[in-house]
Amino acid sequence: MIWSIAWKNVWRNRKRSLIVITSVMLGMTAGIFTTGLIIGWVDQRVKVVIHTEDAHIKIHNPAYLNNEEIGNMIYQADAICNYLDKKPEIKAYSKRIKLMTMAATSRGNTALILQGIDVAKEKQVSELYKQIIPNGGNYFENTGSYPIVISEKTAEQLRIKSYQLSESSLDSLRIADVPETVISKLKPFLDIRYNTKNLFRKAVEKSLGKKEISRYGPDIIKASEHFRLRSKIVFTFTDKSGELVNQSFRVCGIFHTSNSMYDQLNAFVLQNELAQLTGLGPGEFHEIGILLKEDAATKSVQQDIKKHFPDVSVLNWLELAPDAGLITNYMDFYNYIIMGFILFALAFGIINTMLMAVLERTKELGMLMAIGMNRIRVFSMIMLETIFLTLVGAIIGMLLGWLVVEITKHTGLDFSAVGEGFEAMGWPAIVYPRITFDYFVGTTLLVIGTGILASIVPARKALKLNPVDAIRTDN
Amino acid sequence: MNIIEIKDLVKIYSNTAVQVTAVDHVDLTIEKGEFTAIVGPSGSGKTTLLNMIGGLDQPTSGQIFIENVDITKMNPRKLIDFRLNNIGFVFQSYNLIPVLTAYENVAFIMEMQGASKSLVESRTREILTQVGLGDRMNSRPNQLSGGQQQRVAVARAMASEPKFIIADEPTANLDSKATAKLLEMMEILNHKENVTFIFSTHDQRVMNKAHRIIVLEDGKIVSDELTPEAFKED
Amino acid sequence: MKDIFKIAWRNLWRNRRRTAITAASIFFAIFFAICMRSFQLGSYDHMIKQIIEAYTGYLQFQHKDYLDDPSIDNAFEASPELLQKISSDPNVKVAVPRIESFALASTGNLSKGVMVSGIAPEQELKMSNPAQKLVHYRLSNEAIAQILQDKTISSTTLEKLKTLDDQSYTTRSNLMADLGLTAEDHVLLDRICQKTAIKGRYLKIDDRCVLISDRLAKYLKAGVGDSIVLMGQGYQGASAANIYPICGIVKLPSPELDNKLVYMTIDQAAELFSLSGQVTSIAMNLNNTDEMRATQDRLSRLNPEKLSVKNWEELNPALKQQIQGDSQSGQVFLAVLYIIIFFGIFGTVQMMISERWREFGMMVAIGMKRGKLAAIVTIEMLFLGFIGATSGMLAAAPCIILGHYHPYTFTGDMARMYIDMGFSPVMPTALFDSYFFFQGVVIFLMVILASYLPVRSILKLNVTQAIHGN
Repeated sequence: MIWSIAWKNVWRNRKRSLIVITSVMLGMTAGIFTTGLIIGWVDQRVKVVIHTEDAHIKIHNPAYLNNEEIGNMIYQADAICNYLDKKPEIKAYSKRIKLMTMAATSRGNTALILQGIDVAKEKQVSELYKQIIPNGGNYFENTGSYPIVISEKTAEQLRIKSYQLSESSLDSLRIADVPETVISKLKPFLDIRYNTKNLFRKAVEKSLGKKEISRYGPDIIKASEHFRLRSKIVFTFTDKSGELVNQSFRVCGIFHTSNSMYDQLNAFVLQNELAQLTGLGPGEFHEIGILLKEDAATKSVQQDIKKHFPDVSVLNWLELAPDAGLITNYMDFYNYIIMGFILFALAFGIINTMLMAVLERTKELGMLMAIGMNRIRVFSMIMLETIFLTLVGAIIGMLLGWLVVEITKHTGLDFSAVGEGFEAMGWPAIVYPRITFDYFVGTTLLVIGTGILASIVPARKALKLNPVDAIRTDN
Repeated sequence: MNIIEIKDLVKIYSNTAVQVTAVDHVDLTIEKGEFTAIVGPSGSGKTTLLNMIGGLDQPTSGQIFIENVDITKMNPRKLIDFRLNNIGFVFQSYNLIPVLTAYENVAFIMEMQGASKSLVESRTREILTQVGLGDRMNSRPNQLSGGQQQRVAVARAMASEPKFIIADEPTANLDSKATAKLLEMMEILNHKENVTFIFSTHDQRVMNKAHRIIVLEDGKIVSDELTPEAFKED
Repeated sequence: MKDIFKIAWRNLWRNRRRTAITAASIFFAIFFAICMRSFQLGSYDHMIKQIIEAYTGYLQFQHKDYLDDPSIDNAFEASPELLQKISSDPNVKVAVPRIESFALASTGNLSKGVMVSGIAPEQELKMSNPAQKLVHYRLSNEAIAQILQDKTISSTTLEKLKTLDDQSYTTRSNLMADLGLTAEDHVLLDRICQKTAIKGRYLKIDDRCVLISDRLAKYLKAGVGDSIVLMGQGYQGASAANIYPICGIVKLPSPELDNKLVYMTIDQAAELFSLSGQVTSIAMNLNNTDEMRATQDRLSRLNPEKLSVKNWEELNPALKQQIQGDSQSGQVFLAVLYIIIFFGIFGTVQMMISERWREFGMMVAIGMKRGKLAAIVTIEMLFLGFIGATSGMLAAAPCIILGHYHPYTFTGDMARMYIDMGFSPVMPTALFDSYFFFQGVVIFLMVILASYLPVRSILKLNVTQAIHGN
C-alpha cells in the first residue's frame, strides 16, 4: 500500500511535479544521446582500426618494431602460416612486405611506407579496397606494371591531385541541384587546371556571389577534384643488400580513410614486384595481419599464437592502436560519469521539491505516525515518492533519448565542419550513434540511486516531526 | 476489566524560565466498554492527558498501564507498533490520507498490521457498512462531507481492533446534523461491539451522549461521574 | 527603494534550507562550469604551446604560394632589413629564418625520408631551443650490458634498466627519475651516467655538422661522429647531395618530428639546396599571443607583394579544428547542465511563491503595491543567484590557481598515450579570463529568465482568493 500511496502522492501537486519531471526528462535525453554518440564514435574508430588499419592481430619480428629495417623479417614465416591455416577462429590473414621509402614526383615529395601485398588475400583482411574514392581509379584491377594505390592525402602532397572543371563535373553539379545560373558562371573555367584548392578557389570566387560561394562552394570544389591517374611516382629505398634502388610506380587507385595519419603514411603495391625489387625471397615478410571471425576471440587467439611461437611479437589491435584501446576500455566508465553528473545536477531540484512536499504535509505525516506508521515505513514512503518522481521523468527521457539515437543511427550525424580535426586524430567525421540495452539498465539503477540519496534530506525532516506538535490544532 | 490504569501521572513543561504543570498527579482507571468524555476549559490539560494515554507524549512522572503493560517504560519504536495494534485515533481533522479512497484508508491500517488480503477485504467492507458508508467506499476524502470523513476515520480506527479509541475533539468542525449522526454511530459501536471510546471535548452535544464525564481543571480531576446515559437500556 | 533590498534579503533567510539548496545548485553549476572550461582552455593552451611554440611558431612569413605548394622553389629573399623590421615589432619575441625541405638521408644500408631544417643556431635557441633537447645519455644495449656487469647495483635498479633499453635522456634528472632513484643515489647515478654518456653538442654558426632527431638516429643506427648522406632536390631543379658528420642528437617531444628531423646551419642548407639569400620561412613567437591577429595584420603591411604572414591556425588547421571540436562539445555539455539548473531555479521560484501566496495576499490587502511585491521577489532570486555564483567562483579560483602552477600529472596508460602523441602528460588550467566571468553572467541571465513567469503571476494576484485559499 505504501507503494500506492507514494505513487499517488507524486501527482498531488501536478504543476510542481511536472517541472521536476521535465527537467529530469531533458537531462536523461541529453545523457542517453551523448552516450549513444560516444559509443557510435568508438564503434567507428574500432571498426576502422580492425577492418582497415590493423586487423585483429599482427605478427612481427620483434626487432622490426624497434627498427623498421628491411632485414627484420619474420622468421618461421612458413611454420606460422601453417599454424594459422589450421586455426578455426581465423577468418583470413595477409602477409605483407613493408618498406620505408621516399616518394617523389616532379612537383612534390614525401616519405611513405610501401606495403607489398597479395591483393586477393589483402582484400579478405582489410576493407581498404572499398575506400577507393569516386573518380579515383581502382584497386589493382588494371594490368600493367608497377601499379600503386595511394591515399588522397598523398596525392595532394605529391601534387597528383589538381582541381579542374570538366563537362562531367558540371553534370554532377547539375545532379546536385546547383542552379544553371551558377553553372553558367563556371563555364569560362572549363578544363583549366589548378594545382591547389586555394588557387582554384581564388580564381572561381571572383565570378560568384557571396551566397553562391557559401551554398555551392563545397560542391563545386568536390566536383572539380581531379586525379592524374597513371602518373608516375619515383620511389627511392634500400634493398636487402643495402643498395639504393630507384623505381617508378604508376598510380592505379586513390583511397581515403577517416584517419589522416594512416593515409599520410601508407601506400600499396604488388608483393611480387616489390619482392623482386628488394631481393626478398618467397618466404620473407615483415608483417602478418590476421582477421578473426569474432572480435571477442582476439585475446585468446593472441595467447595461442604466442604460446606456439614465443619468439615473434604478436600484438592485438588494442595494443597497436593504443588510443582506440584506451577509449574502448574506459568508455563505459566515462559514459556513466557523464550520466552521474547530470543526475547530480538534477538532484538539487528533486530535493527541493520533495522537501516542500514534506513540509506541506506535516499534519498528515503527524497523523500517520500517531496511528502507528513506524519510521521505516515513513522513510520508505518518502523515498518511494522521490524515486517515482525521478523515474517518471527518467523513463520518458530515456525513451526520447533512445528515439533520437534510433533516428540518427540511420541518418548519421555529420561533423564534417570540424571533420579535418577529427580525421587528423584518426576519428571519423560522420558518426552513427548506438546504444545497448545494458546502458538503460545501468542508467535506471543510477536514477534509482539518485532518488534514494535525494530522499534522505526530506525523509529526515519528516522523521524529526513530533506527532503531538504535528496534529495540534490551533484552537 | 481495567483497560487503562493511570497512577500518579504528572506532566510538567519547562519553557525558558516558566514551568507549567499541565497534568498534576492524576489517578484514573477506565474499563472496557466505556463511553467517556474528558472535559475542561482550554489549558485544563485534557489534550495533554489524552496524548499521554495514547502514547504520543511521555509523562514527567507516573505510570500508564494499558492492559497491565506500562507504556511509560516502552522504547519509542516499540511504542509506535503498540499504538498501531492497540490504540485507535480519531482527530479533529486531517484524519485521512487524501490520495486514498475511503476503502483504502481503512484497509491501509490493516495492511500495516499484516492482515491477510481476504481478511482486509471482508472486514473493511463490513466496518464501512457499519458506519453507514457502504455506498461511498470508493470516494476520496475531498468527495465526502465533513461528517462522512469523520465516520471513515472512526471506521479506520476500529479496523485495527484496538483496545480503545481516543477521539480528540472529533465534532469540532461538524454541524449539528453531522455531529448527531457521528455520535449515534459511535454509540451503536460502543453498545454492539463493546468498543471503548475516550473523548476529549468541550462540545455539549458530545457530553450529553457520554456515559461518564471526567472534568479536568488546572491539570487535576475535579469531578468524575457517571451520567444518566450510562444507565439507559438499549 | 533601499527597503526593498532589506526586505528581500531578510526573506531569503526565512526558509534557510531552501535558500541553501537552491544556492548550492547554482554553486555547483558555476564551480563545475568554471573548472571544466578552465581545464579545457588550459589544455588547449598547453597543446598550442607544445606544438606551435616549440617549432612552428605563432606566425610565419612565407612566400604567398608556399602554403599551397611547400616546395623549395617558393623560397623568398630574406633581406636583413626585413628581418630587422620584423624583430622590431613590439609583439615579436623572436623571429628566426629557416630553410626547410625534404631529403633522403642514408647511412650505409639504411635510408629514410627526412625533413632538413636549416636554422640560425644562435637565434633558434630562443625559438625551438634544440640545445635543450640534446640527448646526453643513451641506454644503448652495449651500455646496459656493461652496467649489468657491475655487481654492486641493486636488482631492482637492474630490472628497471632492462625495461628502459634504447631510451635517450636529455638531462641527468630525467634519467634519475625513470630509474626510480633519488639524489641520495648519486654515486650509483654517476656510474650509470658515465657508461651511458654521449658526446653530443649544439650547432655553431660555422658548423658543417648536423643534429639529427633521436628516433631517426636509432633507425639509421647512427650516432655522434658518424656521417649521414643527404640527397634531394634543390632550388629550380638543381640536385642536392652531400655528406655531413653528426655532432649531436636531439630528442623532440612530437614523435612525428622526432622520426625525421635533421638540423643544420642555415648557411649549410642554402648550400645544399642551391639557395642564395633565400629562406622558406621566417618563424615567430610572440610576447602576447592574444594579439596574434593584430600583429599578423601589422606585419603583413611590411611586404605585401610577394609575401604573406600566416598564423598557426592557417599553418595547422587540423589542430585548430581539433581544439574547436573539443571546445564546442564542452560548451554543449555545459548548456545541458545549465538547462537543468534553469528548471531547478524555475521550480524553486514557483514553490516559493505558491507557499507564500497567502502572505502575499495579505500584504496586498493592507496596501503594498503588486509591482513592489514582484520586485522584492525578483530581488530575492537575484540575491540567491548572486550568492550561489560568487561562492562558486570563489571556490573555483583556488582550484584554478593550483591547477595552473601545479598541474595534475597523469600516470600509467593515460600518461603513455599523451607522451606517444607528443604532449607532456599534464592537465593545466587556464588562469582568469573572460570565460570566468562569462559563467557568472550566464547564471545572472538565467535567474532572471527563470523568475520571469512565476513573478509575473504576482502582478495578477487576486486578494480574496489568495487569503482564503483555493
